[in-house]
Amino acid sequence: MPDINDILHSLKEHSVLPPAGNLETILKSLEEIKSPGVESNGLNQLSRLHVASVPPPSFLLDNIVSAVSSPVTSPVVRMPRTYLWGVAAAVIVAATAWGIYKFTGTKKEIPTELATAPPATETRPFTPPPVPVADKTATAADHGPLAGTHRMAGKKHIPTPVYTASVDGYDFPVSNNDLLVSFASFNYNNLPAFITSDETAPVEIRIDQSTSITVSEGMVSMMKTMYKTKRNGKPTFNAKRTKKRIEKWKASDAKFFDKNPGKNPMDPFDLAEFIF
Amino acid sequence: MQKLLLVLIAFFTVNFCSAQQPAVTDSFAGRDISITYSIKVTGNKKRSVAETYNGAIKTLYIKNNLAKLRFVSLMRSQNIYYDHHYSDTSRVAVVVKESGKKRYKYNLGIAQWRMYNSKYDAANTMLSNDSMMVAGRLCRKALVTLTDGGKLTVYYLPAPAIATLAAAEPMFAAVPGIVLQYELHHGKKSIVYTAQNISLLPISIALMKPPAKGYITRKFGNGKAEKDEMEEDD
Repeated sequence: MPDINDILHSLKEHSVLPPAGNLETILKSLEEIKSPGVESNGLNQLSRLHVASVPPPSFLLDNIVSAVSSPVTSPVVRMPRTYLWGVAAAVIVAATAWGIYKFTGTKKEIPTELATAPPATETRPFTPPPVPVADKTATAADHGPLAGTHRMAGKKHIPTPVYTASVDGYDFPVSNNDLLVSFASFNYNNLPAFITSDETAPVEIRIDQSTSITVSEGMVSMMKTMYKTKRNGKPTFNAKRTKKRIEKWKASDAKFFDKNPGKNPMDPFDLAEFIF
Repeated sequence: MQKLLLVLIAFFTVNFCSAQQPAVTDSFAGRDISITYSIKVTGNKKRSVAETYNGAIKTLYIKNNLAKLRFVSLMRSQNIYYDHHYSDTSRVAVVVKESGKKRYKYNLGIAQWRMYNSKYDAANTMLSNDSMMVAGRLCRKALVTLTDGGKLTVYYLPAPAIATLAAAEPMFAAVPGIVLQYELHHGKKSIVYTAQNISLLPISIALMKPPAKGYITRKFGNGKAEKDEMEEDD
Protein backbone atom coordinates (compact mmCIF):
# COMPACT_ATOMS: atom_id res chain seq x y z
CA MET A 1 0.00 0.00 0.00
CA PRO A 2 1.59 3.25 -1.05
CA ASP A 3 1.99 5.98 1.71
CA ILE A 4 -0.68 8.69 1.54
CA ASN A 5 1.87 11.37 2.46
CA ASP A 6 3.93 10.47 -0.55
CA ILE A 7 0.86 10.71 -2.76
CA LEU A 8 -0.03 14.18 -1.43
CA HIS A 9 3.54 15.35 -1.76
CA SER A 10 3.55 14.22 -5.38
CA LEU A 11 0.24 15.96 -6.02
CA LYS A 12 1.70 19.24 -4.74
CA GLU A 13 4.27 19.17 -7.50
CA HIS A 14 1.82 18.07 -10.09
CA SER A 15 0.87 20.67 -12.72
CA VAL A 16 -1.21 20.65 -15.88
CA LEU A 17 -0.47 23.03 -18.73
CA PRO A 18 -3.36 25.04 -20.20
CA PRO A 19 -4.50 24.07 -23.65
CA ALA A 20 -2.34 25.51 -26.39
CA GLY A 21 -3.52 28.77 -27.95
CA ASN A 22 -5.45 30.02 -24.87
CA LEU A 23 -3.10 32.89 -24.22
CA GLU A 24 -3.23 34.17 -27.80
CA THR A 25 -7.03 34.00 -27.73
CA ILE A 26 -7.16 36.14 -24.54
CA LEU A 27 -4.77 38.74 -25.94
CA LYS A 28 -6.77 38.99 -29.15
CA SER A 29 -9.91 39.56 -27.14
CA LEU A 30 -8.27 42.36 -25.17
CA GLU A 31 -7.02 44.06 -28.28
CA GLU A 32 -10.44 43.97 -29.85
CA ILE A 33 -11.96 45.61 -26.81
CA LYS A 34 -9.42 48.40 -26.82
CA SER A 35 -9.05 49.02 -30.50
CA PRO A 36 -11.28 46.85 -32.56
CA GLY A 37 -9.91 45.75 -35.87
CA VAL A 38 -6.33 46.60 -35.08
CA GLU A 39 -4.01 43.75 -34.81
CA SER A 40 -1.00 44.32 -32.56
CA ASN A 41 1.33 42.53 -30.33
CA GLY A 42 -0.66 41.99 -27.03
CA LEU A 43 2.40 41.72 -24.87
CA ASN A 44 3.79 45.07 -26.02
CA GLN A 45 0.44 46.75 -25.30
CA LEU A 46 0.43 45.42 -21.77
CA SER A 47 3.99 46.42 -21.15
CA ARG A 48 3.25 50.02 -22.14
CA LEU A 49 0.27 50.30 -19.75
CA HIS A 50 2.44 51.32 -16.81
CA VAL A 51 3.48 54.55 -18.58
CA ALA A 52 -0.03 55.38 -19.77
CA SER A 53 -1.62 58.45 -18.06
CA VAL A 54 -5.14 59.83 -17.82
CA PRO A 55 -5.48 63.65 -17.69
CA PRO A 56 -7.73 65.06 -14.80
CA PRO A 57 -11.01 66.84 -15.54
CA SER A 58 -10.47 70.48 -16.54
CA PHE A 59 -12.74 71.94 -13.76
CA LEU A 60 -10.51 70.47 -11.08
CA LEU A 61 -7.50 72.24 -12.39
CA ASP A 62 -9.36 75.54 -12.58
CA ASN A 63 -10.45 75.23 -8.94
CA ILE A 64 -6.95 74.52 -7.70
CA VAL A 65 -5.47 77.44 -9.59
CA SER A 66 -8.09 79.87 -8.32
CA ALA A 67 -7.62 78.72 -4.71
CA VAL A 68 -3.87 79.22 -4.80
CA SER A 69 -3.90 82.58 -6.48
CA SER A 70 -6.72 84.34 -4.41
CA PRO A 71 -5.75 86.32 -1.14
CA VAL A 72 -6.33 84.41 2.20
CA THR A 73 -8.44 86.12 4.89
CA SER A 74 -7.52 84.60 8.34
CA PRO A 75 -10.11 84.76 11.19
CA VAL A 76 -7.30 85.29 13.73
CA VAL A 77 -6.61 88.90 14.61
CA ARG A 78 -3.00 89.64 14.43
CA MET A 79 -1.70 91.57 17.42
CA PRO A 80 0.72 94.36 16.91
CA ARG A 81 4.19 93.63 18.12
CA THR A 82 4.05 96.28 20.87
CA TYR A 83 1.08 94.58 22.49
CA LEU A 84 2.83 91.27 22.42
CA TRP A 85 5.75 92.72 24.33
CA GLY A 86 3.35 94.25 26.87
CA VAL A 87 1.57 90.98 27.51
CA ALA A 88 4.84 89.15 27.92
CA ALA A 89 6.08 91.77 30.38
CA ALA A 90 2.88 91.52 32.44
CA VAL A 91 3.16 87.76 32.62
CA ILE A 92 6.76 88.00 33.77
CA VAL A 93 5.92 90.56 36.46
CA ALA A 94 3.01 88.46 37.75
CA ALA A 95 5.14 85.34 37.89
CA THR A 96 7.87 87.21 39.73
CA ALA A 97 5.42 88.63 42.26
CA TRP A 98 3.94 85.21 42.87
CA GLY A 99 7.37 83.73 43.32
CA ILE A 100 8.33 86.42 45.83
CA TYR A 101 5.11 85.91 47.77
CA LYS A 102 5.43 82.17 47.75
CA PHE A 103 9.01 81.83 48.84
CA THR A 104 9.66 84.80 51.01
CA GLY A 105 6.34 85.28 52.91
CA THR A 106 6.72 84.86 56.71
CA LYS A 107 4.54 82.62 58.77
CA LYS A 108 2.91 83.66 62.00
CA GLU A 109 3.84 81.68 65.01
CA ILE A 110 0.42 81.76 66.58
CA PRO A 111 -0.38 78.19 67.63
CA THR A 112 -3.75 76.82 66.73
CA GLU A 113 -3.67 73.13 67.66
CA LEU A 114 -1.10 70.84 69.13
CA ALA A 115 1.98 70.64 66.92
CA THR A 116 2.24 67.50 64.76
CA ALA A 117 5.82 67.73 63.53
CA PRO A 118 8.76 69.98 64.06
CA PRO A 119 8.86 72.83 61.56
CA ALA A 120 11.51 72.68 58.92
CA THR A 121 12.55 76.30 59.33
CA GLU A 122 12.69 78.56 62.31
CA THR A 123 9.87 81.07 62.43
CA ARG A 124 10.14 84.65 63.44
CA PRO A 125 9.41 85.39 67.10
CA PHE A 126 5.84 86.42 67.66
CA THR A 127 5.34 90.06 68.58
CA PRO A 128 1.89 90.64 70.03
CA PRO A 129 0.27 94.06 69.80
CA PRO A 130 0.49 96.23 72.92
CA VAL A 131 -2.09 95.54 75.59
CA PRO A 132 -4.33 98.53 76.21
CA VAL A 133 -3.78 99.24 79.88
CA ALA A 134 -6.93 100.98 80.97
CA ASP A 135 -7.06 99.32 84.34
CA LYS A 136 -4.28 97.97 86.46
CA THR A 137 -6.45 95.22 87.85
CA ALA A 138 -7.60 94.10 84.42
CA THR A 139 -5.75 91.08 83.18
CA ALA A 140 -5.07 89.79 79.75
CA ALA A 141 -7.31 86.78 80.32
CA ASP A 142 -10.33 88.83 81.33
CA HIS A 143 -11.68 90.63 78.31
CA GLY A 144 -11.27 91.49 74.95
CA PRO A 145 -9.66 90.79 71.81
CA LEU A 146 -6.26 92.18 71.19
CA ALA A 147 -5.23 91.01 67.76
CA GLY A 148 -5.93 88.51 65.10
CA THR A 149 -9.28 87.24 63.94
CA HIS A 150 -10.88 83.98 63.22
CA ARG A 151 -13.96 83.35 61.17
CA MET A 152 -16.87 81.34 62.46
CA ALA A 153 -18.91 79.60 59.84
CA GLY A 154 -21.56 81.92 58.57
CA LYS A 155 -20.85 84.55 61.22
CA LYS A 156 -18.92 87.75 61.27
CA HIS A 157 -15.33 88.00 62.38
CA ILE A 158 -14.71 87.53 66.05
CA PRO A 159 -11.43 88.89 67.27
CA THR A 160 -9.22 86.18 68.73
CA PRO A 161 -7.57 87.12 71.97
CA VAL A 162 -3.83 86.84 71.78
CA TYR A 163 -1.46 87.86 74.52
CA THR A 164 1.99 86.96 75.65
CA ALA A 165 2.71 84.81 78.63
CA SER A 166 6.10 83.95 79.95
CA VAL A 167 7.66 80.97 81.65
CA ASP A 168 11.17 81.12 83.01
CA GLY A 169 11.76 84.29 81.06
CA TYR A 170 10.64 82.68 77.82
CA ASP A 171 7.83 84.61 76.17
CA PHE A 172 5.27 82.76 74.12
CA PRO A 173 1.99 83.79 72.52
CA VAL A 174 -1.23 82.48 73.99
CA SER A 175 -3.94 82.18 71.42
CA ASN A 176 -7.60 81.83 72.30
CA ASN A 177 -6.69 82.06 75.98
CA ASP A 178 -5.81 78.39 75.71
CA LEU A 179 -2.71 77.84 77.78
CA LEU A 180 -2.52 74.09 77.28
CA VAL A 181 -2.65 74.30 73.49
CA SER A 182 -0.23 77.22 73.43
CA PHE A 183 2.06 75.41 75.86
CA ALA A 184 2.13 72.41 73.59
CA SER A 185 2.87 74.40 70.45
CA PHE A 186 6.36 75.69 71.08
CA ASN A 187 8.80 75.98 68.22
CA TYR A 188 10.99 72.88 68.23
CA ASN A 189 13.98 74.98 67.26
CA ASN A 190 13.43 77.36 70.15
CA LEU A 191 12.21 75.45 73.20
CA PRO A 192 12.17 77.03 76.65
CA ALA A 193 14.81 75.98 79.14
CA PHE A 194 12.50 74.04 81.42
CA ILE A 195 11.74 71.60 78.60
CA THR A 196 15.30 71.07 77.51
CA SER A 197 16.72 70.81 81.02
CA ASP A 198 16.89 67.59 83.00
CA GLU A 199 14.85 68.87 85.92
CA THR A 200 11.12 68.33 86.27
CA ALA A 201 10.44 70.91 88.96
CA PRO A 202 7.16 72.85 88.70
CA VAL A 203 7.35 76.07 86.74
CA GLU A 204 5.33 79.24 86.92
CA ILE A 205 3.55 80.75 83.92
CA ARG A 206 3.24 84.49 84.23
CA ILE A 207 0.05 85.48 82.45
CA ASP A 208 0.02 89.12 83.41
CA GLN A 209 1.40 91.34 86.10
CA SER A 210 -1.02 90.04 88.70
CA THR A 211 -1.73 86.51 87.53
CA SER A 212 0.39 83.42 87.37
CA ILE A 213 -0.38 79.75 87.45
CA THR A 214 1.86 76.81 88.23
CA VAL A 215 2.60 73.93 85.93
CA SER A 216 2.95 70.86 88.08
CA GLU A 217 5.86 68.47 88.04
CA GLY A 218 3.74 65.88 86.31
CA MET A 219 2.80 68.27 83.50
CA VAL A 220 6.39 69.45 83.11
CA SER A 221 7.42 65.84 82.73
CA MET A 222 4.74 65.32 80.09
CA MET A 223 5.84 68.39 78.17
CA LYS A 224 9.40 67.13 78.11
CA THR A 225 8.23 63.83 76.72
CA MET A 226 6.05 65.54 74.14
CA TYR A 227 8.95 67.49 72.69
CA LYS A 228 11.38 64.60 72.41
CA THR A 229 12.58 64.01 68.87
CA LYS A 230 14.48 61.34 67.00
CA ARG A 231 17.73 61.92 65.20
CA ASN A 232 15.86 62.88 62.06
CA GLY A 233 14.04 65.60 63.97
CA LYS A 234 10.66 63.90 64.02
CA PRO A 235 8.74 63.30 67.26
CA THR A 236 9.36 60.03 69.01
CA PHE A 237 6.66 57.42 69.52
CA ASN A 238 6.22 58.47 73.15
CA ALA A 239 6.01 62.11 72.09
CA LYS A 240 3.15 61.36 69.73
CA ARG A 241 1.43 59.21 72.31
CA THR A 242 1.68 61.96 74.92
CA LYS A 243 0.28 64.48 72.51
CA LYS A 244 -2.66 62.23 71.71
CA ARG A 245 -3.32 61.76 75.40
CA ILE A 246 -3.47 65.50 75.97
CA GLU A 247 -5.82 65.87 73.03
CA LYS A 248 -8.07 63.24 74.59
CA TRP A 249 -8.06 65.15 77.84
CA LYS A 250 -9.10 68.31 76.04
CA ALA A 251 -11.96 66.48 74.41
CA SER A 252 -13.05 64.94 77.72
CA ASP A 253 -12.93 68.32 79.43
CA ALA A 254 -15.05 69.88 76.71
CA LYS A 255 -17.51 67.01 76.87
CA PHE A 256 -17.89 67.27 80.63
CA PHE A 257 -18.03 71.02 81.14
CA ASP A 258 -19.11 72.43 77.79
CA LYS A 259 -21.83 69.89 77.11
CA ASN A 260 -23.15 70.22 80.65
CA PRO A 261 -23.46 73.91 81.51
CA GLY A 262 -24.59 72.96 85.01
CA LYS A 263 -21.07 71.71 85.73
CA ASN A 264 -18.70 74.31 87.10
CA PRO A 265 -14.92 73.73 86.99
CA MET A 266 -14.54 76.18 89.90
CA ASP A 267 -16.76 74.00 92.06
CA PRO A 268 -14.64 71.45 93.96
CA PHE A 269 -17.29 68.74 93.74
CA ASP A 270 -17.79 69.13 89.98
CA LEU A 271 -14.06 69.30 89.40
CA ALA A 272 -13.47 66.21 91.53
CA GLU A 273 -16.16 64.37 89.61
CA PHE A 274 -14.30 65.05 86.39
CA ILE A 275 -10.66 64.56 87.37
CA PHE A 276 -11.07 61.75 89.86
CA MET B 1 -5.89 75.25 148.81
CA GLN B 2 -5.89 72.54 146.18
CA LYS B 3 -9.35 73.58 145.09
CA LEU B 4 -8.22 77.19 144.78
CA LEU B 5 -5.26 76.08 142.74
CA LEU B 6 -7.47 74.06 140.41
CA VAL B 7 -9.82 77.01 139.95
CA LEU B 8 -6.91 79.31 139.14
CA ILE B 9 -5.48 76.84 136.63
CA ALA B 10 -8.87 76.41 134.96
CA PHE B 11 -9.34 80.16 134.84
CA PHE B 12 -6.04 80.82 133.13
CA THR B 13 -6.51 77.89 130.76
CA VAL B 14 -9.87 79.16 129.61
CA ASN B 15 -8.45 82.64 129.12
CA PHE B 16 -5.51 81.24 127.20
CA CYS B 17 -7.75 79.25 124.87
CA SER B 18 -10.04 82.17 124.31
CA ALA B 19 -7.12 84.33 123.36
CA GLN B 20 -6.24 81.85 120.57
CA GLN B 21 -9.67 82.08 118.88
CA PRO B 22 -9.70 84.34 115.88
CA ALA B 23 -11.43 87.61 116.51
CA VAL B 24 -14.19 88.73 114.26
CA THR B 25 -12.71 91.18 111.81
CA ASP B 26 -14.54 94.13 110.39
CA SER B 27 -11.86 95.15 107.95
CA PHE B 28 -13.69 93.77 104.91
CA ALA B 29 -16.95 95.63 105.49
CA GLY B 30 -17.79 98.07 102.73
CA ARG B 31 -14.51 97.49 100.91
CA ASP B 32 -13.66 96.06 97.53
CA ILE B 33 -12.25 92.57 98.08
CA SER B 34 -9.92 90.54 95.88
CA ILE B 35 -8.82 87.11 97.03
CA THR B 36 -6.67 84.84 94.90
CA TYR B 37 -6.67 81.14 95.70
CA SER B 38 -4.12 78.67 94.45
CA ILE B 39 -5.52 75.26 93.62
CA LYS B 40 -3.53 72.19 94.48
CA VAL B 41 -4.70 68.88 93.13
CA THR B 42 -3.34 65.62 94.47
CA GLY B 43 -4.25 62.63 92.37
CA ASN B 44 -3.25 59.01 92.04
CA LYS B 45 -0.94 59.49 89.12
CA LYS B 46 1.50 62.21 88.25
CA ARG B 47 0.47 62.05 84.62
CA SER B 48 -3.27 62.40 84.60
CA VAL B 49 -5.87 64.90 83.54
CA ALA B 50 -5.90 66.11 87.13
CA GLU B 51 -2.49 67.64 86.53
CA THR B 52 -3.95 70.06 83.99
CA TYR B 53 -5.88 71.66 86.84
CA ASN B 54 -3.10 71.38 89.40
CA GLY B 55 -1.56 74.80 89.96
CA ALA B 56 -4.61 76.69 88.69
CA ILE B 57 -5.87 79.84 90.36
CA LYS B 58 -9.27 81.11 91.33
CA THR B 59 -9.79 84.79 92.06
CA LEU B 60 -12.77 86.25 93.88
CA TYR B 61 -13.68 89.89 93.36
CA ILE B 62 -16.36 91.68 95.37
CA LYS B 63 -17.40 95.24 94.64
CA ASN B 64 -20.61 96.46 96.23
CA ASN B 65 -23.35 94.24 94.81
CA LEU B 66 -21.17 92.77 92.12
CA ALA B 67 -19.09 89.63 92.34
CA LYS B 68 -16.76 87.97 89.92
CA LEU B 69 -15.17 84.55 90.09
CA ARG B 70 -12.26 84.03 87.77
CA PHE B 71 -10.71 80.65 87.07
CA VAL B 72 -7.49 80.16 85.13
CA SER B 73 -5.87 76.78 84.55
CA LEU B 74 -3.83 75.02 81.89
CA MET B 75 -6.94 73.29 80.67
CA ARG B 76 -9.42 76.19 80.58
CA SER B 77 -10.25 79.70 81.73
CA GLN B 78 -13.74 80.58 82.92
CA ASN B 79 -15.43 83.50 84.68
CA ILE B 80 -18.70 83.98 86.55
CA TYR B 81 -20.17 87.45 86.89
CA TYR B 82 -22.83 87.86 89.54
CA ASP B 83 -25.09 90.84 90.16
CA HIS B 84 -26.74 90.76 93.57
CA HIS B 85 -28.61 93.94 92.83
CA TYR B 86 -30.74 92.00 90.31
CA SER B 87 -30.76 94.89 87.90
CA ASP B 88 -31.76 92.40 85.23
CA THR B 89 -33.58 89.40 86.74
CA SER B 90 -33.11 87.44 83.55
CA ARG B 91 -29.38 87.82 83.94
CA VAL B 92 -28.30 87.74 87.56
CA ALA B 93 -25.28 85.65 86.67
CA VAL B 94 -23.28 85.26 83.50
CA VAL B 95 -21.03 82.24 83.07
CA VAL B 96 -18.35 82.92 80.47
CA LYS B 97 -15.95 80.45 78.99
CA GLU B 98 -12.87 82.47 78.11
CA SER B 99 -10.59 79.87 76.56
CA GLY B 100 -10.65 77.82 73.40
CA LYS B 101 -11.74 78.59 69.89
CA LYS B 102 -15.43 78.50 70.75
CA ARG B 103 -15.93 81.00 73.52
CA TYR B 104 -19.43 81.19 74.88
CA LYS B 105 -21.51 82.53 77.74
CA TYR B 106 -24.68 81.62 79.58
CA ASN B 107 -27.07 84.16 81.03
CA LEU B 108 -28.67 82.79 84.17
CA GLY B 109 -31.82 84.19 85.71
CA ILE B 110 -32.68 83.87 89.37
CA ALA B 111 -34.16 80.39 89.07
CA GLN B 112 -31.35 79.18 86.85
CA TRP B 113 -28.70 80.51 89.23
CA ARG B 114 -30.41 78.59 92.00
CA MET B 115 -30.40 75.49 89.80
CA TYR B 116 -26.70 76.02 89.04
CA ASN B 117 -25.99 75.83 92.79
CA SER B 118 -28.73 73.39 93.70
CA LYS B 119 -26.36 70.92 95.37
CA TYR B 120 -25.85 73.44 98.21
CA ASP B 121 -29.55 74.06 98.87
CA ALA B 122 -29.72 71.49 101.66
CA ALA B 123 -26.05 71.54 102.64
CA ASN B 124 -25.24 71.38 106.33
CA THR B 125 -22.56 73.67 107.73
CA MET B 126 -21.04 72.67 111.05
CA LEU B 127 -18.73 75.08 112.80
CA SER B 128 -15.74 73.84 114.72
CA ASN B 129 -13.45 75.32 117.33
CA ASP B 130 -10.39 74.21 115.43
CA SER B 131 -8.28 76.90 113.88
CA MET B 132 -5.39 77.23 111.49
CA MET B 133 -3.20 79.98 110.09
CA VAL B 134 -3.95 80.73 106.45
CA ALA B 135 -2.29 83.57 104.55
CA GLY B 136 -1.00 84.93 107.84
CA ARG B 137 -4.46 85.08 109.41
CA LEU B 138 -5.92 82.89 112.07
CA CYS B 139 -8.94 81.10 110.70
CA ARG B 140 -11.63 78.88 112.16
CA LYS B 141 -12.71 75.57 110.76
CA ALA B 142 -16.11 74.56 109.42
CA LEU B 143 -17.40 71.49 107.66
CA VAL B 144 -19.88 71.73 104.80
CA THR B 145 -21.68 68.46 104.13
CA LEU B 146 -23.90 67.85 101.13
CA THR B 147 -26.94 65.65 101.04
CA ASP B 148 -25.04 63.04 99.01
CA GLY B 149 -22.38 62.87 101.72
CA GLY B 150 -19.78 65.04 100.02
CA LYS B 151 -17.71 66.98 102.56
CA LEU B 152 -15.86 70.24 102.21
CA THR B 153 -13.49 71.37 104.95
CA VAL B 154 -13.45 75.15 105.22
CA TYR B 155 -11.15 77.55 107.06
CA TYR B 156 -12.59 81.02 107.37
CA LEU B 157 -11.73 84.38 108.83
CA PRO B 158 -14.61 85.34 111.07
CA ALA B 159 -16.23 88.45 109.69
CA PRO B 160 -19.67 89.96 109.36
CA ALA B 161 -21.69 88.36 106.62
CA ILE B 162 -21.38 89.88 103.16
CA ALA B 163 -24.62 89.27 101.27
CA THR B 164 -23.07 89.49 97.82
CA LEU B 165 -20.40 86.99 98.74
CA ALA B 166 -22.89 84.53 100.22
CA ALA B 167 -25.05 84.76 97.09
CA ALA B 168 -22.13 84.47 94.68
CA GLU B 169 -20.74 81.40 96.45
CA PRO B 170 -23.70 79.59 97.97
CA MET B 171 -21.49 76.76 99.22
CA PHE B 172 -20.21 79.24 101.85
CA ALA B 173 -23.55 80.93 102.50
CA ALA B 174 -23.71 79.57 106.05
CA VAL B 175 -20.05 80.20 106.86
CA PRO B 176 -19.78 83.23 109.18
CA GLY B 177 -16.79 84.89 107.59
CA ILE B 178 -14.38 85.13 104.68
CA VAL B 179 -13.24 81.71 103.48
CA LEU B 180 -9.48 81.57 103.01
CA GLN B 181 -9.04 77.85 102.48
CA TYR B 182 -11.29 74.97 101.57
CA GLU B 183 -10.48 71.44 100.66
CA LEU B 184 -12.16 68.35 99.34
CA HIS B 185 -10.77 64.91 100.03
CA HIS B 186 -11.54 61.85 97.98
CA GLY B 187 -9.64 59.04 99.61
CA LYS B 188 -6.00 59.82 99.00
CA LYS B 189 -6.93 62.38 96.37
CA SER B 190 -7.66 65.96 97.22
CA ILE B 191 -8.29 69.45 95.89
CA VAL B 192 -7.19 72.30 98.13
CA TYR B 193 -7.98 75.96 97.50
CA THR B 194 -5.71 78.24 99.53
CA ALA B 195 -5.79 82.03 99.61
CA GLN B 196 -2.46 83.43 98.48
CA ASN B 197 -3.26 87.08 98.13
CA ILE B 198 -5.89 89.21 99.84
CA SER B 199 -6.38 92.74 98.62
CA LEU B 200 -8.73 95.50 99.65
CA LEU B 201 -7.66 97.91 96.92
CA PRO B 202 -10.35 99.47 94.74
CA ILE B 203 -11.47 97.38 91.79
CA SER B 204 -12.34 98.86 88.43
CA ILE B 205 -16.02 98.59 87.57
CA ALA B 206 -15.05 97.52 84.05
CA LEU B 207 -13.50 94.38 85.49
CA MET B 208 -16.82 93.41 87.03
CA LYS B 209 -18.87 93.66 83.85
CA PRO B 210 -19.35 90.60 81.66
CA PRO B 211 -18.16 90.90 78.07
CA ALA B 212 -20.71 92.13 75.58
CA LYS B 213 -19.19 91.03 72.31
CA GLY B 214 -17.26 88.16 70.89
CA TYR B 215 -19.06 85.29 72.57
CA ILE B 216 -21.74 82.87 71.52
CA THR B 217 -24.70 83.12 73.88
CA ARG B 218 -25.97 79.68 74.74
CA LYS B 219 -29.20 78.74 76.41
CA PHE B 220 -28.73 77.35 79.87
CA GLY B 221 -31.99 75.44 79.86
CA ASN B 222 -31.98 72.70 82.47
CA GLY B 223 -28.27 72.71 82.84
CA LYS B 224 -27.71 70.62 79.73
CA ALA B 225 -26.46 72.20 76.55
CA GLU B 226 -29.11 72.67 73.92
CA LYS B 227 -28.62 72.51 70.18
CA ASP B 228 -29.72 76.07 69.57
CA GLU B 229 -26.94 78.59 69.74
CA MET B 230 -27.83 82.21 69.54
CA GLU B 231 -25.95 84.69 67.48
CA GLU B 232 -23.20 86.56 69.21
CA ASP B 233 -24.13 89.81 70.83
CA ASP B 234 -23.79 92.96 68.77
